[in-house]
Amino acid sequence: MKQNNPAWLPIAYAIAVAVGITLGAWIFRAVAG
Amino acid sequence: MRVQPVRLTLSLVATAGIAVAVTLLFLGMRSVMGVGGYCASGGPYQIRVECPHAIDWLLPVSVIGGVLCLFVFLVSSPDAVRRWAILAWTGLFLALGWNFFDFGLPWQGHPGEPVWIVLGFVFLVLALSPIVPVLRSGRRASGQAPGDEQVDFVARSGHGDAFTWEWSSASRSEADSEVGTVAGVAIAAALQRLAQLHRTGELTDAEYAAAKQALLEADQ
Repeated sequence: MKQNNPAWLPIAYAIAVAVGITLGAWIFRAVAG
Repeated sequence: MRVQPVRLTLSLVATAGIAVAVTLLFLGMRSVMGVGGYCASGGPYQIRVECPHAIDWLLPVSVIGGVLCLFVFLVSSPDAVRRWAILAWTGLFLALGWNFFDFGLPWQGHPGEPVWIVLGFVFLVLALSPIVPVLRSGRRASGQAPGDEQVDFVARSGHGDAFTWEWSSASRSEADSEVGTVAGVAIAAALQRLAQLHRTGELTDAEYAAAKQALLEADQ
């Protein structure tokens, strides 16, 4: 049987990636900038 | 699909952690390339190019942190999401490959470095190569132009493993090959039996030739 993802699941992961990139840039600026 | 809130939260946090690690590696690499592509810090030696501030520990911590987050992602993610981990690889190599192009091409005041451009292409290939099998398996699962192989993949995709199809396809061809071998052994035995009957005189030359011909044609 083929699984169907909830429609919001990719959006949740995309938001998590965006948060991670922002946080990473902020950490880099704070530590090594 | 039923989603467990705790596992999903862990998976999302791990995803953000991977993105943090890749971003730190991307920016750290740019920082090192900005001072010529190599540097050193600490130790008893005289250092020609000192590393930018905090880079000496930031890059190893990013690598270790990224691998740990990837592990948490693989353990905690829902089955259907786990295959997305391949995007971490692609994102990492696209990001670092971009740095090679950006600093290797003679633009934005950089003198240009041909070796870095070559490395940029290598990283581009590394980034995109694992995407191809994932896209292929996704196309097969999309329900277009059904065939034996596709039905097999859709039936197995419930396990959430993008590479199950490859395995099942391989085992099917092995099974086909085994059937072929068994049929070949049976034909050989029948031919031997015919030859024996011919030798003992129970079959005339014409009968033997006709039976042999029929047996060989049935095999094809």
